[in-house]
Amino acid sequence: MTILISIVFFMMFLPITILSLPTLGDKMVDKKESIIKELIFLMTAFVLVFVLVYYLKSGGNITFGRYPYANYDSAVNFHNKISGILWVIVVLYSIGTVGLTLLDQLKFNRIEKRGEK
Amino acid sequence: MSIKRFSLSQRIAHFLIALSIMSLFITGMPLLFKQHWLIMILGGEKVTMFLHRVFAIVLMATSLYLIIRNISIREMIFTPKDIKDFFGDVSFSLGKAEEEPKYGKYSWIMKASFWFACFEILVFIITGLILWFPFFFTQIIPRYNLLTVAEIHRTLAIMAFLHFSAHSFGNHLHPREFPLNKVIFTGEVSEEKAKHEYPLWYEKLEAGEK
Repeated sequence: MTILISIVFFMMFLPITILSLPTLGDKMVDKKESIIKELIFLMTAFVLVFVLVYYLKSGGNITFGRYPYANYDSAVNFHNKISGILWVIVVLYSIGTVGLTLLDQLKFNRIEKRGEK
Repeated sequence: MSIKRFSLSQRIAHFLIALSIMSLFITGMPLLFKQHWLIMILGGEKVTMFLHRVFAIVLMATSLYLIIRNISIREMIFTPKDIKDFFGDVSFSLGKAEEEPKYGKYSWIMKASFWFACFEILVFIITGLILWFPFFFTQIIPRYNLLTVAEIHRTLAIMAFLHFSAHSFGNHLHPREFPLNKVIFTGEVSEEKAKHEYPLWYEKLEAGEK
């Protein structure tokens, strides 16, 4: 069953590799080099997919907060500190994202106005 | 006349990454916010987790494909011109400069977005694998760190969602492109658009043709 699912996954990437063989970005590349890279990708992808699919059902439960903790208090303290830092990053990142979006909008408005003139 | 902007492999890789990221949001967010009704719609907690891992595999394989094939990576390296363009854009947007900077094939914001996406995917993969195989990784890292790893994974998910929203707005919902920017689907851009939005790239292409 694992092999079967891996093959299905593997097949998903096969058409991409076949279709994309002649070109890489905008530049034509050495075909021999391209085929070697393709083979490396396919073999690595197969091993990766096989290993992960093998563990698909047997892996740990990612649902948060269900792990056994030996030092629960220190774990929570450490977690709270990191969590605080992460939330500061999220706030800064949100301000940056909104700022850049507004900047782009301002630029667009200026270009539009210039076009009207 | 249209000009080729994205190769087929770039378009397919973008499609697979977009598909897996969106699916990971759909299967991950209900678990993050403990939305049981959404988990039920998806088929229960076990099915949701199963699907989350399936799309994680698609994301990992596509990332691997991008790295091995070295797609876009060379073109995305920052140059001093990108820093100059950033300040040029700020000055122009605030009305302090008369002309906007001229971009090459990729602008500074496209490069920044690309590298941030790479960083996000890398951290998602590392933290995701630790959470997937906790018994293996707790042989390497202290067990109590799993709580922190989970926190990094979910905080990054919120940041990735913001990134995804800004990216979608800038490329599809922006008045310039609304309702849909087709270039990532067709791989082609009109000559007029290329001349206007990526003038240095257009000049380079024109010089190459002559």
